[in-house]
Amino acid sequence: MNSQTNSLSTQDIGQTTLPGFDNPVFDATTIFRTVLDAMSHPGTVIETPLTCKSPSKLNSSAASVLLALADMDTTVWLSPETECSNVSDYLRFHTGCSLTQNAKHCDFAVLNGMEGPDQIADLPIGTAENPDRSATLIIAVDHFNSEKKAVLSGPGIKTTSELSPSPLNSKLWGWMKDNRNYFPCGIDVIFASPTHICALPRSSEMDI
Amino acid sequence: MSQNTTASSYNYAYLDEQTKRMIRRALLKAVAIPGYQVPFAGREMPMPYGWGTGGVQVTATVIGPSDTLKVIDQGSDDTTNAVSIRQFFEKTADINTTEKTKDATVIQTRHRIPEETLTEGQILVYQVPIPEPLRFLEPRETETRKMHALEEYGLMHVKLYEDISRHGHIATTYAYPVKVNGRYVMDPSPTPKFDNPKMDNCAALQLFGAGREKRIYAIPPYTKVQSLDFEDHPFEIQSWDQDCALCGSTDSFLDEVILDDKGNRMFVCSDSDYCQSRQDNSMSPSVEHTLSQASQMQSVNSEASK
Repeated sequence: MNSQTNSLSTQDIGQTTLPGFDNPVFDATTIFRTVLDAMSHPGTVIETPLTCKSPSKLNSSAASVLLALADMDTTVWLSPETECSNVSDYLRFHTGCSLTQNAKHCDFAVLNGMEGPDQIADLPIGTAENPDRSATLIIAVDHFNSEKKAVLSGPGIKTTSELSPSPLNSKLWGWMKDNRNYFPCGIDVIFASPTHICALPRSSEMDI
Repeated sequence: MSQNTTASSYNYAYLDEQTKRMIRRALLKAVAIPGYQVPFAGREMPMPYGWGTGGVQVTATVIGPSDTLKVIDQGSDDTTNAVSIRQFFEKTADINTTEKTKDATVIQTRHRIPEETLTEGQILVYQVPIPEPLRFLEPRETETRKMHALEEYGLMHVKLYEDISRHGHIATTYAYPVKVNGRYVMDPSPTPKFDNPKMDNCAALQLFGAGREKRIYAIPPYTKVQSLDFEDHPFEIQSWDQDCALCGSTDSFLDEVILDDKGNRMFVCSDSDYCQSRQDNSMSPSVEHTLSQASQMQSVNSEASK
């Protein structure tokens, strides 16, 4: 753990930190299955089966995905818009993950949908021989009823599916389209609204 | 679980939570890169390597209390491996088990895909002994990794070509290499090539776990899975001259069962649930005798083939 950015003293624990999963074992399994379902059906919007209390800059779905998947073996990068002591204390306390300022070395990255792609330009996309050494990007949005839609096709999609997260920085659409060109390298994206999640793995073809 | 004191002293589904998270992260990467083998820190399981330690770890990571589990070993629900893995999860994960393919949400399999078409929402977990399709052609991991990176699969085609030059046809009958979504060549585990077409555009999610080799890979639903072949030697599946002696099926994978020492033999479905449900639907008294005799022989035979 990086001591410089650790603002959590033992006395603060319990006062500043919100509760995590009610039932860590079964809630983590439920959330994982939801993410697995989303990742194997790109573009399908799936209701998050539980809610958890989360810091204001991290919505409930985004928080529960991190609670289910992050731990002391993973490094999380928070974008400028989501980075604050509430979020970092929450993640450190519940998952034991380390947080980094350097986007080049992270396993999970958290972005607000309004932020631009410049923030995530440095995320690791893996190498040709080890494409799995890439970051998973969680983008916090409000809902999935955007007027702008992308049509997805590829593995996990029977014919086509639609992706319509909102609000989303207009430059992110182009970034997502480019992301497919690096396959098998690339970033896997999980969009998280307060109540639903939707995934865009690197394997999906995208038409805007 | 509550009645069994030894099982309750383990975490739910045997694996500790940190191990599950590690495997879960690997599974998500595997789904995002169809056919690519993701390394994972495989754990020692309370069974020997070769008995499905990879499949068991994937199943333990995926299942929750609301799941219904089916376990098959070469198509059959009642061989040793299938029974012991089913009991393992009944004990450690307190879940419902079934022998009916359509009732299961998670199916762990050794060397077969059920005959009944799998549906959306089901998860098929394969036990994989050697995940690298190029391993017998190139023993060095550094090299096979490079070959996958460069999409250099010429060697595999040479191997299939040598089959043709030696035997007149592609003689590979199981672990027949496939190309997933037009990118990665993948070993479908030692399933008979008869099952390869079922992998293509399958509605269910297919997860592969290799415990000894510590690799996880996946095929998402509705993904193109193409068996490698040549224009003049197209991919073909096995066929039999006979129908299943028990249920009369003409289109399922058949096991040869030796009946006596005088050369008598019969062919029966390898998928025990498929065969049984067909028999239940059209039971006639005349077949009952052969049936009890044959099912006895079938279990003896599948034990011996381990």
